[in-house]
Amino acid sequence: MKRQKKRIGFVGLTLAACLILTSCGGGGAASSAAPSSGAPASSAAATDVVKSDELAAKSKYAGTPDADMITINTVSEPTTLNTMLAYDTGSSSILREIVSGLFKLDKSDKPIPDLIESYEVSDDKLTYTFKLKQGPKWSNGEPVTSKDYVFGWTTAMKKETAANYAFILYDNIKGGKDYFDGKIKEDQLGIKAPDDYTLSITFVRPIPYALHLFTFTAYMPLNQKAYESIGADNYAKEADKVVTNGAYKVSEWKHNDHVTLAKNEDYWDKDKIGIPKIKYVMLSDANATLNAFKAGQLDFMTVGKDHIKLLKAEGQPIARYIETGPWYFQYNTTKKPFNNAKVRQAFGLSVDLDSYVNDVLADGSIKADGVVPPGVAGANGKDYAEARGSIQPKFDPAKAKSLLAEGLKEAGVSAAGFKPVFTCSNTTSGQKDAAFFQEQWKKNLGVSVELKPLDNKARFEAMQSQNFELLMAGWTPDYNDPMTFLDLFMTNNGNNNGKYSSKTYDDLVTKAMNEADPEKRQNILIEAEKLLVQTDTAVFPIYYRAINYTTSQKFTGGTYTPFQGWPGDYHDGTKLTKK
Amino acid sequence: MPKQLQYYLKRVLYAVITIFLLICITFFLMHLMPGDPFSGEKAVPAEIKAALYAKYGLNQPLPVQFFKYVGNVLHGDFGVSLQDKRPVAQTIAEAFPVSADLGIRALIFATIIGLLLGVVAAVKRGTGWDTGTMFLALIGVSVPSFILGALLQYFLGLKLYQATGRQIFAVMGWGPANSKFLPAFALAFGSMASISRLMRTSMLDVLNQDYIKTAKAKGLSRGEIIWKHAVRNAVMPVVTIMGPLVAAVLTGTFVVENIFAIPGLGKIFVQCVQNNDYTTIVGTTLFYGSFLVFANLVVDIIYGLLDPRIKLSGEKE
Repeated sequence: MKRQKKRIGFVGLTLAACLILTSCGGGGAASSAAPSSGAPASSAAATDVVKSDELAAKSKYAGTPDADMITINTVSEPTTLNTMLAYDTGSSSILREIVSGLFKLDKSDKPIPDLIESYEVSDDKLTYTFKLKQGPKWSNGEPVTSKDYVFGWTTAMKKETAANYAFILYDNIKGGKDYFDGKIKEDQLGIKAPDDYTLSITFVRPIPYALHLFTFTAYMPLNQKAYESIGADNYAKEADKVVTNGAYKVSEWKHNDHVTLAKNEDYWDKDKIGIPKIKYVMLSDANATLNAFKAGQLDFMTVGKDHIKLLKAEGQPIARYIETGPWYFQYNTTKKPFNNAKVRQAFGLSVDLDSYVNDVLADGSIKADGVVPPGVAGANGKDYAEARGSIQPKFDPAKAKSLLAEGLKEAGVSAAGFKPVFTCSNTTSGQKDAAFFQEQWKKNLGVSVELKPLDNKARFEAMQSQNFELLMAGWTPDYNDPMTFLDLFMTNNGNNNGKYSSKTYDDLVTKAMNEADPEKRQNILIEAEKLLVQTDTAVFPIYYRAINYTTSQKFTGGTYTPFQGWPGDYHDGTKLTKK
Repeated sequence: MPKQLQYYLKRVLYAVITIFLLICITFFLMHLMPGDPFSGEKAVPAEIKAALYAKYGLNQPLPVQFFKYVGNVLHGDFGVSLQDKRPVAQTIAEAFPVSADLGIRALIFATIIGLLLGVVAAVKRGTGWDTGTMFLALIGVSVPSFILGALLQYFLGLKLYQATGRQIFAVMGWGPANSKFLPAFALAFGSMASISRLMRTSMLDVLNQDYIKTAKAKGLSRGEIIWKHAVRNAVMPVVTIMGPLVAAVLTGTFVVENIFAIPGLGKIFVQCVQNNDYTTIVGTTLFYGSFLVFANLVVDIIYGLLDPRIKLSGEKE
């Protein structure tokens, strides 16, 4: 078999098409400060936002007094520092600093080699073989070898480990599901370590975003000796009970208070570490965060809508990034009259999204063009959303009204008794959003909608058990490919909460999955997305959320990236600004 | 058996029953909450959820889980948090001392200042002192601690820092001495107000008693009358509310700890309810419950000791 040998350095360009992320599930550090103000803001959006690199130079605040340490608010306690078990952004953003693996993401979210010398891919694109670097060491002094990867992956895939993200391994690795179910042994898996510095992994199908998978926390190595001597029940629960190999070591962990990381002097690339210490604190109150930032207790904060105006007024610079995830109206297609596409369209078309984004959100969030947001990789190194263009139906109250009348008739629901329920979040901003939609539907559609505010857990439960008619939902990608958004609406997807079911759609997405040609694959996906949004309106895209943030004068070079959130010192070039 | 001892034993028995009922109710009610500890915006694949349920014993019928839990608690095992997977007992052992530290500071603050204000207001009745203190008390009773906390953070934490360039009071955190004043004051203010109002009323009542007139007639000095005769008697009703006050201060930490990012039990308690972290919910509720029941028990006993005239229920002679 002829093998393609690829030298590091060439790799990024060809396979950089798709990214994997580490931001899993909702509610991480990024979504911390989201308060709301009394009156709708008019022009907090779009203008005078600076680049991330300019924040330190323009900042009005000196930051924390410590000479060699920056302080970052991570909002809540990381649920774990065990790479196998991480599922929240808080945990993964710290893990990224302390554990290294085969690849890592650079500042533009491209996967770049980390602890490997070289790698090669088999012709069938199923098997990846890595030559590992020989220098890197664990914090217990042991060398990082291929056995550590095998141990980490197989342990994470064991049922008794009960890792939330185990599926990202066993859905992809050959024999993974059978191994999870206890049907096969470790040596029958598609993971091999012929010697200490050679590692190979075989997937069940060619994965366009494979390199990005290798940057995911579940794909990190795990030191067997440390894990076994500390014990599975205690591993990574205290600062002295976790063994790491990354740029930083956990020097202190006071639970629910702070985690402090210190530069790893044994790190193979230690000269590139620009900040000696990083302290993560856990402050959840948005006003307290602002005060703490201004009073020199924080060096970085996300900025909620009210605070944007406040900070701008005093000339404090703000940087912004748009999340790579859509928010949309989710309809329960199993409930009358939302089983009717015309009714679904009517509810979307009757809401003035420009007004929603500019007057209600007013934080720089942008109106959606479709389900797949900008920033998601498409064919030939280009943006998928760019190739697709906007497929978003335009605001049209008159059309909405007639569609509703037709739709209700078709569904056999009388307009007189029609009083749908909109399930919303019980937060201030959630209820404000809901009130805006309610008013729009009343005004433009003549429909009185009842609001049902629920707390997060209850809302997710309602959503996942189809105990709703209409709500606003969002989706964060698991990897950087349009598929992570579009396979969501296939009939049997576990997260297809609206229970949209269309054979045409299923067939299109399946066809795309099996299409090797990137250009063709992309066209099929665009066709599927048009069907989803324009024809069937299973969901109605609303907006892509903006995250606003600012820093003190103390350090520069850090930036928010769509797939990593906020990395403290993970990237080259992040450094303290010396006075 | 002496009547006194019998009474105390009865109280202890009631306390144990109360705590048992508390566990029962909390245990079954929390399982009625929508969602589960592992649910999020993204559904966890069914097979992984099953593995998680099996690992943490949530796949068994509820009554089985309950008796297992009670059995474990009797052996001192509070289980493992479903959120961070650490032993609940360990979390409580780390977090409670922080809350207790905060609470005791607040209580000392509230009691000393509250009593002083109450006495001053009563003695200087009708003067500006009286109006001033009672106005302060009114604010204290009506302003919730999260507003007060935010105001303190803004004025004493931020503005003072900007004015002086020195961090006299920290806005957040718990550790250095400068971080302890603002949260303790925010927590104490409401209780301080209640104490001062109660003390004033009680003091006025005592000052009108015949024995105070007698003392005056005997020619005792004003200071002696106030401190020896009036305050000692007037303080009784304040002691009675110390039980509920301890409760108020403890539950008050739920809010204050969140605003000031203090790693205490109040913060943990709020988080575990939001996360449906069953083991931590029962564990902390059990702990708080026992603590409050115990505090009330102690107050009852102290009350009896301070004023031997008080007849205990069930006492006949």
